[in-house]
Amino acid sequence: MKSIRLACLLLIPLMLGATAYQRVQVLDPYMDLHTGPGRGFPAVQVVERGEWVEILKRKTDWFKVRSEQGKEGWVRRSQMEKTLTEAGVEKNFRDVLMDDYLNRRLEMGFAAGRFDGDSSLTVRTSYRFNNYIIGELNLSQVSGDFSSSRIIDLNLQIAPYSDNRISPYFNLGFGHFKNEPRATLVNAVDTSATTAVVGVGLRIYLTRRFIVRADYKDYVVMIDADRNEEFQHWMAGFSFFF
Amino acid sequence: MLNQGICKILTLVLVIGFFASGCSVLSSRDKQDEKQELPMEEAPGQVIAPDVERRDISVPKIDTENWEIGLYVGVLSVDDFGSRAIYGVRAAYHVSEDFFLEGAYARSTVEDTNFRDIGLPIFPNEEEDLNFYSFSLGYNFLPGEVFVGTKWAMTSSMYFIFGVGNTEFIGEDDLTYSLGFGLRVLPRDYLTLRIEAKDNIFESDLLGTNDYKHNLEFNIGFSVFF
Repeated sequence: MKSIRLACLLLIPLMLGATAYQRVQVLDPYMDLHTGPGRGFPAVQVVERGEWVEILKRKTDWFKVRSEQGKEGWVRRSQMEKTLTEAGVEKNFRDVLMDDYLNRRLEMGFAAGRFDGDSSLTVRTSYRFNNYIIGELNLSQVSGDFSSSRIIDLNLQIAPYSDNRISPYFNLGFGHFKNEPRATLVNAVDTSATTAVVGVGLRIYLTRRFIVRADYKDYVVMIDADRNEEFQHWMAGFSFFF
Repeated sequence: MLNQGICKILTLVLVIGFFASGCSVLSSRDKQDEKQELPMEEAPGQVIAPDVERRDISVPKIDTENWEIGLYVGVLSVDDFGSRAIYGVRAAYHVSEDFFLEGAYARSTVEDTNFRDIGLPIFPNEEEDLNFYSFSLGYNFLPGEVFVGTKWAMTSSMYFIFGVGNTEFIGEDDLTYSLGFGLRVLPRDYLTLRIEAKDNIFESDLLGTNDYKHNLEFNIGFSVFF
């Protein structure tokens, strides 16, 4: 009988193992439980000081918790910071900080701009190898009045002041340029060529995970052995980092 | 006499000092030899070997759900070229409780039946494929709850969405601006139902004159948070 009970006791944590949650003890007089993850959702329940809550999940800056009595609700980060962990220390749910920006690796974003007078749209992903060197892949689509172009280019960026909030960079790269004339044009031919890219740009760390970016790029499209075309590309957009 | 005495004492001190220093040099050498001979584990003076197992405290990770990925289906009305079904996928990243960034890709068709009927075909075929993609910024507003019956309450929120993208049909790319609003309802914390109305605006000269075309889209979809 005793062994069965013991086996049951051992099994319970195994069964619960799939849903093990972090537990914290409330330090504030009350912890407000909102119905949803946002300040606009009403607080309909409270958990009192000294009670333990389980942290079920997180959405942006809101945490879904469950109290010992089974009350569930969403708690804002500032209130979650006023709790104690099981080790008896204050829990630190820190915000995204400038340090995270400086230690970022992967960055994704999009930008709108003008490519030789036509509107352009760019998606880009960059990877920061170290403090000064960034690699970036750009995919641009240019929609013009007479033709549309697709550009893919791989770039290396040197950012000498990357530990500043405002960080300029130099850009060097190569890629491929493809131009298709509009269906309404007569006797127009497609262009497909290699391109060299040189440019400068600016990253401004805004807040949280956001970076505002402005770029100027100069494309030299090598159309054939004795013909090069040069295009200017201005871009502004925003990116976010992980 | 006195000087002789001092001399004796000084010599004695010197002799003792010499031997003492000699001894210390020798003894330190001996110790060094000893150290080399002894294995490290059996250092003298250590009675109990510490055999402490480090406790691995694993705090369960908090499951963050800031990504949303989903499918949608709807109706897209392309200015002059009929209304057809549109199918799309979208992925959103929720940056804060207020803002989210979204990428979407959708496919639909366009038809020039009306023009064909009066003998003026515009497309190579009556029905042509349409591809659309966009990158948008969304803003959540009017958070609240939706009540179904007496027992079920689901959190909900309205949102505005503004996007820049591209519409492509019969080989033409048009930069497209999207403006819209929608309602997002969450039956579960990870599941989202969405109803959205958008105006996709692009400039086109397919019918001779360059003009802004307003293409209304209405869609419903679901997505999953992870």
